[in-house]
Amino acid sequence: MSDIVDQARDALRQVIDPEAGLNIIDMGLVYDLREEEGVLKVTMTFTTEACPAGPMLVASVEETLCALHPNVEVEVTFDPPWTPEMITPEGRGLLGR
Amino acid sequence: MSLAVASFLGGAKSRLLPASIPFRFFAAAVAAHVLLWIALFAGSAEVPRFVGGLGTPLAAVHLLTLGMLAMTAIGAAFQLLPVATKQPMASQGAMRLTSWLFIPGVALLVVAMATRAIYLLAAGALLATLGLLLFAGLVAHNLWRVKGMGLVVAHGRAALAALVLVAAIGFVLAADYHHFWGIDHARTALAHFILGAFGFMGMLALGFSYVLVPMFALSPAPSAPLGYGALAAASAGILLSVAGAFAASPMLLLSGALAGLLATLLHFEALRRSLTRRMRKRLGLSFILVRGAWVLLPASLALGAALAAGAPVPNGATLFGFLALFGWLLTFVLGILQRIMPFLGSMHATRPGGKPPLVSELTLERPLQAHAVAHGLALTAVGAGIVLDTPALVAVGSLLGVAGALAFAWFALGVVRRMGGLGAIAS
Repeated sequence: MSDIVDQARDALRQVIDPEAGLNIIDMGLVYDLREEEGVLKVTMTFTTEACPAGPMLVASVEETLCALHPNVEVEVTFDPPWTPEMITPEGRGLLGR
Repeated sequence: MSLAVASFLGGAKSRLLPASIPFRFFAAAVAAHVLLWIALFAGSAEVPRFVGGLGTPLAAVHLLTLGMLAMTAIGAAFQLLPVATKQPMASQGAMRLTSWLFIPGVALLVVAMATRAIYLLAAGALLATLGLLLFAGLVAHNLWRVKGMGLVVAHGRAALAALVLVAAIGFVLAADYHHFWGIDHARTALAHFILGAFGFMGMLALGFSYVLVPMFALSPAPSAPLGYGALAAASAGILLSVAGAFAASPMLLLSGALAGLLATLLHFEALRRSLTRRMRKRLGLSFILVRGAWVLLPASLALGAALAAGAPVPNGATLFGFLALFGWLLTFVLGILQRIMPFLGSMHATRPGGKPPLVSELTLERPLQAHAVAHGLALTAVGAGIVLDTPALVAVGSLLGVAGALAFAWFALGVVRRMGGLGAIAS
């Protein structure tokens, strides 16, 4: 994994889902993060298609990554849909599970 | 399915309404919440045997249904629907017009009901009905173009159909006080109640639950087959009950109540399966209220079935209405509203370059705890007052309700203050 991808992943730990109070990496909302042809590409999801905070999360991701890379592309997908099992063990610990 | 970020964000800006639009409805709902308990206190002598007719108890009921429940539903739908459906609402001007028609319309209507002012009643009913129909048109326009989220959209469409009927029947009931068309008020009012409580508000409560409960609990989406089963049973129950009300048929009313109980069972099973896989261990105070509401929904339907079967329950009809409106719907909406307000506040408090405040940072626990205790005691005292035919208990319960509603208003003001004050809402 390239340095920029590691840096990006660390940076995205600063993007917090306001409802869960957990960062989007530990929430399991980021499905894929890679640098391809000079573009930093993120594939992410929301906990539900109807998540009111979804657009704000995307904006925060883009803003965070633009500080690291000149070309950022964020894609939102609901395939597969997010499930609670996607939360990392660290995230589960923070949620009291 | 995937969305390119440019179009997603471009649309997101137009879908995030100015905070002043949803929050004006929430502010009206919070005020109506205080006023409805005051009206119940003022009419406490009539409450135990109240089964309809102009007066303060009817004003209290409509402060609850139109002032609190419908106002919250409109604010939440205007804010959440465009984000959920990825379709902007047709017009912000039309949403503002809805508030200009509906809020003063409801105010006029309840004042007219309390003071038995017939001319004012017709004017208030006209404004409120126009507001509701405009809201229904805006939501229908949004839902018409939606792809996906079939279960929630189906509930939304059922709720809209019920809303159009309940608004039309309500207007006819109000106008009949002036024009004396000779309609059977008791039968028509029962149909109006069933369509309003279980049709419009009930379908919204079921549909919103499939989105909001998993989101708050961090659990997977509820089972769609169980959800559609609940929708089918609920629709059948409402149709049977409304037919039973118009035909004065105990058998149809009983069948409707039983179908409603089946719908409740399927709905709860869908949510139970989802919640058993939740990641958030502690669901908090809001879910204590939501679970309380979930107990009182089948309790109201079981009482309705017993009454239709001829069971001799003291002041049973009044208790049935109280359990459904104050017990189930009001408790459910208060549980949800105390989560939605800080959540929407978090979205609106975000400034360019800044991070959104956490929902927990916008929430005040102490007033919510005071509200929950007062609300539970109020329901118990008023319910006992109805069963025991004791207005003094209703009066005590109503005062407890006022105290709880004031605590909830304190919480709501605290959310606004932590968002950055009224300037954040107006901007």
